[in-house]
This record gives sequence, C-alpha cells and structure tokens, in this order.
Amino acid sequence: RIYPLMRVTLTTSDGASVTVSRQLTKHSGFIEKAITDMAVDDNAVPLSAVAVDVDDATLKLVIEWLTEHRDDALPYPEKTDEERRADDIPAWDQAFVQKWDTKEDQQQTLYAVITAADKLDIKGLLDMTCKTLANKINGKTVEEMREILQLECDFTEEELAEIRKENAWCEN
Amino acid sequence: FQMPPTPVRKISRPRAAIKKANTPSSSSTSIVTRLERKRRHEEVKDDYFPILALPTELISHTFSFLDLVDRCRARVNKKMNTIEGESKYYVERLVIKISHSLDFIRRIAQNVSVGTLTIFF
Repeated sequence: RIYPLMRVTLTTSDGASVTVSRQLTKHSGFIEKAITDMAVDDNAVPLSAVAVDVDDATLKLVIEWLTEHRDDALPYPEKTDEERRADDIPAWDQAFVQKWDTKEDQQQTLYAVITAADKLDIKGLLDMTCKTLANKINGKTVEEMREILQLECDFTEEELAEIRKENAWCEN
Repeated sequence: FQMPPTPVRKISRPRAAIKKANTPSSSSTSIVTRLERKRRHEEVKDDYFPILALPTELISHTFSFLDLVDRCRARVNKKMNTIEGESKYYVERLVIKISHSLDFIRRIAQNVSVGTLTIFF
C-alpha cells in the first residue's frame, strides 16, 4: 500500500536532510524496506525519517532522476537470460548524465551516483549509470581502456600471451 | 579550576586531502598512489573512473552491458580478468567460424550462455 501524500525525510551522510514524496522513494528498495521495517501505520505517521549513506550533492542528483522517473512501472522489470545492451539509454537520462560533462569531477560524479543507486537499491538508475560506464569503454582498444580507467597492466608475459591468444579473434 | 589546554591544531596536509578526495574506498589506494607518482612527471587526468573501487558485482554488472569483443578486451589487468572470468553472461546469438582458435571457444564456454549457436565449417 502506498499513500501518495506520505512524505519521507532523508538525512544524508553529510548531515543535510531533504523531504520527498513517497511516490519517489518507492523506487528505492532500501528506503522502502527501511519504512516497512519501522512497522508503522502509514496513516498514523505521515512522515518517516530515513538515514541514507549518500552525500547531499549525490542525493540531489538521485532525486532529480527519481522525479523524472516517478511514474516508472514497479517492480522494475529484471532481465534474466536476455542479451543486455548499453545503447538503449532514454534521451532524458542521456541528457541528465551529459550535464556532468562540464564538471571537473564528472567521473567521480558518475562513480558517486552508481554507488548511491546500489546502496539505495534503485535498479533503473543503477542499470542506466552502469550502461553509461560501459559506453565509456565500449569500442575502445585495450590501451585506450587502460588509459580511461587508469589501470596498469600487471600481467606476467605468460598471462599476457594467453590473453592475446584468446583475444586474437576480436583484434582483426 | 583550570582550562583544558588548547588542542594543537594539526597542520593541514594537502596531499592527504587530495588523496581522500580521489579515493572513494581504500581499495583504490594503489591506483591513487600511482597517479600521484605519475603527476610529478607528466600531466595526468585527475578525474578518472575508479572502476576497481566498485564492488565486484557492480563491475560484473557493467561488463554485462558490453559486447563480447569489448568484454574480452576489458580484461586489462589481473583483477579485471578475474572478475570477467567469474561473471556469467548471456549472448543471444553467436556465430563461430571453425577458423576461430580453440582458445577463444574455451574462453566462451567458461561463462557465456548462448541463445542460438551457429557454427561454420
């Protein structure tokens, strides 16, 4: 049972708090569970407070996404045994993520939102942000991937030869 | 009555501050250290995606959205190779030419389930 008028106050890891409607928080498995665990009568308690391990700046982005997606179907359609693709991100979501391109810490922002979507159990946002990350390395060479992710090659010569052999089919 | 002594104010350490800002979790420390080392010599992008700081299942989840080709390439180091090897994937349709090496086919058999498999002789 969802009471649309009920509001939830979220307190962030850096001490801020924001009150949002239950219509938004129902998309977060974590917040829903927290409210259910309180075992309160939704009618009797019109306001619930939930502490989230997400900072204020990141929570603002999460809420912006939730606001756009407030009418999304629930439960989120989980895809099993179906080929996943990263090129089906909706236009609004693409624009939402592209807005961070001008920020100096756009990669850290994406990291923060992925982590927040995971903690708050918002499956739609997690899928979308993981696809965005996948798109950053999609179609890149191994060297370009290392550069983008700042990862050093720590394979031994033997391991490297093994990988090259396995990858031979996709490098021509 | 005596006032407690004023605590000595710690001198701020900018390096530690930078490290903290760039380190979402301790597991990416080695990458950050490397970055700092590199920074002294050449221009390096400060803002990069610390993929190994993510929980393994999220790296797996991200891998699941990559094409088979890109997923194989994304094994850029030991950790990424291990995570890729332990993840399960589904591929709708796979066409194997018998000219493909056995190494590739062995690799696919490890963790990919295939909808339709076509083999060309």
